Amino acid sequence: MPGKKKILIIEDDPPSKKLQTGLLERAGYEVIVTDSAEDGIALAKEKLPDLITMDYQLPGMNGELALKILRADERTKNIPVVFVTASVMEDEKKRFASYHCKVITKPIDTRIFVQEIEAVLNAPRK
Amino acid sequence: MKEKKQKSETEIEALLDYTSRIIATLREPFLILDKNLRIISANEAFYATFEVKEKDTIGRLLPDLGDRQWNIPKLLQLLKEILPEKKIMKDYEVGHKFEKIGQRAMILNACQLRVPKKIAVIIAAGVRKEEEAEEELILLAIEDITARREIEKGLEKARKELETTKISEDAAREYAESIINTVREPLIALDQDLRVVSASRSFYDVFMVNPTETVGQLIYDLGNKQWDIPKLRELLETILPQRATFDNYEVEHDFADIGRRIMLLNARQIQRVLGKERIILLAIEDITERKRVEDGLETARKELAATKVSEDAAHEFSNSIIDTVREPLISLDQDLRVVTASRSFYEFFKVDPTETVGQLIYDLGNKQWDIPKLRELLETILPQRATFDNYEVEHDFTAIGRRIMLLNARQIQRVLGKERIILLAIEDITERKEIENRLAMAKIAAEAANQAKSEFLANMSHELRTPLNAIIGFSEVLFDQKFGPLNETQKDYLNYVLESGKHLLSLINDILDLAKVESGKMELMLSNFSLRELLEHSSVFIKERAFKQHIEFSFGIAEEVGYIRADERKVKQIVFNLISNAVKFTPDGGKIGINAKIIGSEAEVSVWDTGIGIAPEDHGKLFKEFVQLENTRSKQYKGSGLGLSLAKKFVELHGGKIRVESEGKGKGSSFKFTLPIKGEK
Repeated sequence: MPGKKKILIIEDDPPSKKLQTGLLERAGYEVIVTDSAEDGIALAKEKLPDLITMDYQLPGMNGELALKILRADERTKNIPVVFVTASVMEDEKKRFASYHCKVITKPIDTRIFVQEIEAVLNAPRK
Repeated sequence: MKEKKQKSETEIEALLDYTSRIIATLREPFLILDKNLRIISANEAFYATFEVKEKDTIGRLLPDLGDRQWNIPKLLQLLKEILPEKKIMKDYEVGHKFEKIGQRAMILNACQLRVPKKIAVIIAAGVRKEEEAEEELILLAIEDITARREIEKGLEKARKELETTKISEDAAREYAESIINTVREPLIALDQDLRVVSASRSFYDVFMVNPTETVGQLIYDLGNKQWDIPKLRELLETILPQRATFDNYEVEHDFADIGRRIMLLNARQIQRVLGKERIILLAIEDITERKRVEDGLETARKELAATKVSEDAAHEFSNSIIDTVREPLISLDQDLRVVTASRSFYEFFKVDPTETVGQLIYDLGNKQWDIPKLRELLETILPQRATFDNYEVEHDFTAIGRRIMLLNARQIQRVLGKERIILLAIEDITERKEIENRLAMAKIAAEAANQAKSEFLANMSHELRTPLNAIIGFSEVLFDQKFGPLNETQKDYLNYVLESGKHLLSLINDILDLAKVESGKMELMLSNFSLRELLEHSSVFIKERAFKQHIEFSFGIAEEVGYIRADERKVKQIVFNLISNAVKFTPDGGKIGINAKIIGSEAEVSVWDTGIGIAPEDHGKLFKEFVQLENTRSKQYKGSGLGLSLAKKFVELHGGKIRVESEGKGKGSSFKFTLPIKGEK
């Protein structure tokens, strides 16, 4: 086994953070967690995770800006980002779609969450 | 001697008495006057005829009688001048108009005589003293011939007429001919056989014929039978034999030589003249020109009358309109001076006619009307355009405050005796404007409120989803025993948490959807999918629940039902909402079902049940948001009250229709909705 895949979770809601962490660790992933986009970007550059799940509405920098910063950095630009968000506004959904990011709506379906993440990890890279 | 003398005196007295009796008996008025024309005696006939009284007569001078009515020059001439000389005058005729008895013709017979003193004294007894008794007396008999004169006059007239008829035939012929030739109207005389006896010069002139081809000819044959005119035949052959005279008989005829003529025929049938038994005199008046002029005149008159009438009517009409309309109306002449103003104008602007009519509009009400925008309209815009509508002017009037007015202007040429009239209708839209503004504000506020509501709902939905993420997520992983085993009781309880969380989530989703639809933010994500498969999947989901409640489920999808273009997620939700209701409102042991078929360009899906049914009066309320029918508002049938209203909104977003069929409570119900097969309309 060539080492666990690393997933960075950027999420400010403790229960949500814990639920995702629990499900992913149980599935065998190494999980790095942070509360803010700013910390998340730093961690991403430093740890170079295989995938990042990120809330949209975060304290401070929001998810969208964070995504742009990650995409602008050579080291992090190819890390797939999955938005896990409670936001269901149509215009926001459309914007996320334009970034080619998977969007998982809260509340998450714990019975398929891990599969959804795996699908993104296994998707062919650009 | 003395005896003889006495006897003679007695005889004289007896004679005089006799004479006076005769006089009294006479039917003719009789007077005895002295030479000074003083009346000495008068008879009853005099008093009766001239309606005077004895006491006003005897002793008076004749000219003074009855307020000098008897002061008749001819009579006085007779009595004073003729009689003294001739002593007797017979049949002297006097005409006089008396005040009381009117015009009278009288024949006077008078004589003047000298009587012995003795007789004179007797006659004048009571009038004169003996020594004054005149010996010269006048006797005047007056014959009233008024009635006779009238009879005589009639006789005289008759006699004269008789004489006129006695004028010789030759003279008559000459006379007639000269008349005939003098009159301008063509005149023709026909004998009993309707042959021309004579014709006037003007006849020959007007009808362009000559005497040789006229006299002796049958009238109808004249001028190449041009005179064979049916109406003339009618006059001559039918009318005249019955009536000797016929006037203004109008005949229109087209003559070869002189063209169409309108003639007025005056016909006279005369017996035995000109040596003929019967002569018809025909005066032909050519009224063609007159008729034309008359017709022209009549037309002109009628037109004039019509225009006059219509002008008057129009005037009255316009005035009444002006005074009737609520909008102030003012008319100005070319110099922008007020010609008229409506009642409403005076009322509205609180001015009176005397300070308005004739004034320059700008000067009205202490120059309150000197409004730059009004000047612009009247001086710049209207000279270029005859009509200008809805010209908005705002102005602060002293009397009535700030007003927003809508001016409608019309420039009219030549009315009310002016070269140019500007009609200005002033609509006060101050209030309307205010209402409009308030409405606009209210609309903005409402829109903002609606926006805020949508935002609030979206935010709330977002905020609620985060805790629900924990509630549903953790209870689900625990229930699934991903992190360790649970006993049955724990699992049972945990399931309540999970199901309640999911129910809460569905409520939140419904509210969010409704908010989206209402704010117009709900968009259809159209795709092609199999309606059959969608219905089958839905039924799989429901079958499980139905089975638990021992509800029989039946599925009837027509063969032609296949792919449609629609928003799959929303169609799924419509079906889900309907089928959830069907299960919810159907008691254990009942039946539910889904049927589908294609009708024209639409797919019709019906979800039916044998459940509690819906009263007819509730059918209308059913699709309203947050409405739950009275009997369903119990824990047994918990729900948001949004299911059907969302279903309806989603169906309508697709351009389809939804309806309910239920015969009443306890009789089940059937919800049918249609969707266009080829997507949005």
